[in-house]
Amino acid sequence: MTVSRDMTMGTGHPAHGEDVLLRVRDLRTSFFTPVGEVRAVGGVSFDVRRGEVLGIVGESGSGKSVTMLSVLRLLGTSGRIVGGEIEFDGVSLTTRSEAQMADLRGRRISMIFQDPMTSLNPVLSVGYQMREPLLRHGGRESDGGVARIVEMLRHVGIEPAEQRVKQYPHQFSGGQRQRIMIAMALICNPDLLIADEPTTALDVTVQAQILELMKGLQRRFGTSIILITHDLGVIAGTADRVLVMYGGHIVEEGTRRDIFYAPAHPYTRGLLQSVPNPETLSKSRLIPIEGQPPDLLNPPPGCPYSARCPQTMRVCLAFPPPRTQVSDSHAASCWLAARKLEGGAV
Amino acid sequence: MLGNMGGSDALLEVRDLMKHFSVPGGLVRSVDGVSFSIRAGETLGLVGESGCGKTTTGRTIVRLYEPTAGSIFFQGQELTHLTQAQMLPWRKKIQMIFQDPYASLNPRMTVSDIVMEPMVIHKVPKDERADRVRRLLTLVGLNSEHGNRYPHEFSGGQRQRIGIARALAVEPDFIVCDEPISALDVSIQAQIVNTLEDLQRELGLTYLFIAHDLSMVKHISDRVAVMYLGDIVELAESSELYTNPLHPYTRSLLSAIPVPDPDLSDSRHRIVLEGEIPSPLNPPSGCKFHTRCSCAEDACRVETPGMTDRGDGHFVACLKA
Repeated sequence: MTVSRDMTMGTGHPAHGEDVLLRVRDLRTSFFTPVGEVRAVGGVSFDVRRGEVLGIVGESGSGKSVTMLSVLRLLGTSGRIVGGEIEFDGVSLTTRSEAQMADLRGRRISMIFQDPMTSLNPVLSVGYQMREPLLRHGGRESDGGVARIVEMLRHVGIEPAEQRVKQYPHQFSGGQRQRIMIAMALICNPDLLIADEPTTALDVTVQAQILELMKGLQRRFGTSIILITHDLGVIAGTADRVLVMYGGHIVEEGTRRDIFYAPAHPYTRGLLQSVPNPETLSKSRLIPIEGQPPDLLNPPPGCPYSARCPQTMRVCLAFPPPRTQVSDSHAASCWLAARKLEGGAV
Repeated sequence: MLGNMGGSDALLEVRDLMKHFSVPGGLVRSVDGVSFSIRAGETLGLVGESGCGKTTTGRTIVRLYEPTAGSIFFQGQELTHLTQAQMLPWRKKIQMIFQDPYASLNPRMTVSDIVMEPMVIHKVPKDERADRVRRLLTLVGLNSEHGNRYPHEFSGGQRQRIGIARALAVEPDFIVCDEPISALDVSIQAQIVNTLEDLQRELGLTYLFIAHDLSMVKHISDRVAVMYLGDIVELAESSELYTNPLHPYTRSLLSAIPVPDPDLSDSRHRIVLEGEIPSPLNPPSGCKFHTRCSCAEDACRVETPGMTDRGDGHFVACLKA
């Protein structure tokens, strides 16, 4: 494999503290429900570097959204972080008070959600809603932030911005509302933007516009972005590095070239085989992943993927696989990868 | 001649089909004169963005909506003006699979009752029903013992299989699949698509496959029709459409599909469409796409392009292509 630009940055290992904006270690989050404890996130560790786009791919229930909601501590009443450490810009978030967290949200870390229809308040004008984070975080512009709001709307391509600030959400299309959400998320110039399935509810042509916009703004403001999606195509076109999540665990981590051209985990390989590539002409049969995702009320003791994996060994059923470094930038949590590495060393 | 779009052995033929809805602001021309035909045993893909009229087209064909104008022929018989009673025997031959496997199954009915309901309506002899339900459940990849359970005990993919079993219960010839995989996870989508393909082969089914996921549509369809604001703008063999798209809208739509391949994704030329889809309440004059088209000329603003054959069954409605 050729050495690409992003590989020189090295992965996985914490070390260079300066580079790392967000560091998560062994995060465990559970939801306490009437039927028992749902272990939504079962111990994940990763870093987000300054200025990078980190893609998180996984299916529903894989824990990708809950991981991010844990970082922002937006888990609601039934969810709780039961273990692990979260460090943002050198400061531990796990021990912070709710007031200190509130001060962080929207100012240093912003989040946008899947559904732009329900994320905006229908009875307040767009300008009013965009002003909220400015006021909350001590904006003291003499014009009440109007200039800043108009400027941000222009950045996301809503024109004529001066008139449109006064309009209400229903006067905008789905794509425009997501643009407004992005403008609002970036209005305080945060260090980190968490985008949870930002284009899933949008049509492909609008999706392409929004992804272009996010990449452009990222280059311009140097914001780190965590992009959560289930769409491998979106990840391939947008992310610098990729985490693959399954059953509440990170099963593989690497640059997008690692993940797409040299997938080390059977789940990643399964995912890639189960989607048709629109560029290939052959009509080969899709290779689905048989079976269902694990039940997180009773997570399997070993590898979360063991029940569906075509290469399951006895060890996979009993013991969680160790994280194995395949290359500097590439790691997989799989017994096969661990064995291979051992074998190579002998 | 539009009637030729698909040849003479058409199972289904739709001519100038229109479905308009009256709303407080005026008239929404959801489907505004579409024509196509589907051969027995083939899969026709119908793609387009939200609001283009693809779902309305599917539902109008099944006569869940009454067509405003135009005609629907099935096995040579015109269905357009049949009464509900006259329609009943035809409904046995035309079934539907819905997008949302959570909303399309009655939560208070057992799986067995759900799959059996069409048999009750179409008077399948009583002593055959239970046996048929068991066979159907096995056929779609469920456990035949699952009949006594309720929908909430199943995952999204399994529910979609129940929906498929229900559609197959009265041995139809033709199934309208309205976004059958959009609500499912990636790894489950492939399971369902493979099941649909196997069933088509085994039972000789014909599909109208409605979806917005262009990669899946390309994979499953023999021919594909692209809709924009109530019109079909291009129709061709699946591989022909994807390698040689003629309509500027099809081109931009194809270039916007995210490909799961980083190098291809970086090297690809994206045609990013400006603006948003215009309101179907007040569609643009002439070619409806002219407001967003990079090749539009004065003529496009006035003249409505008709479907023309560019050879080998590749039809396009564009003055410039």
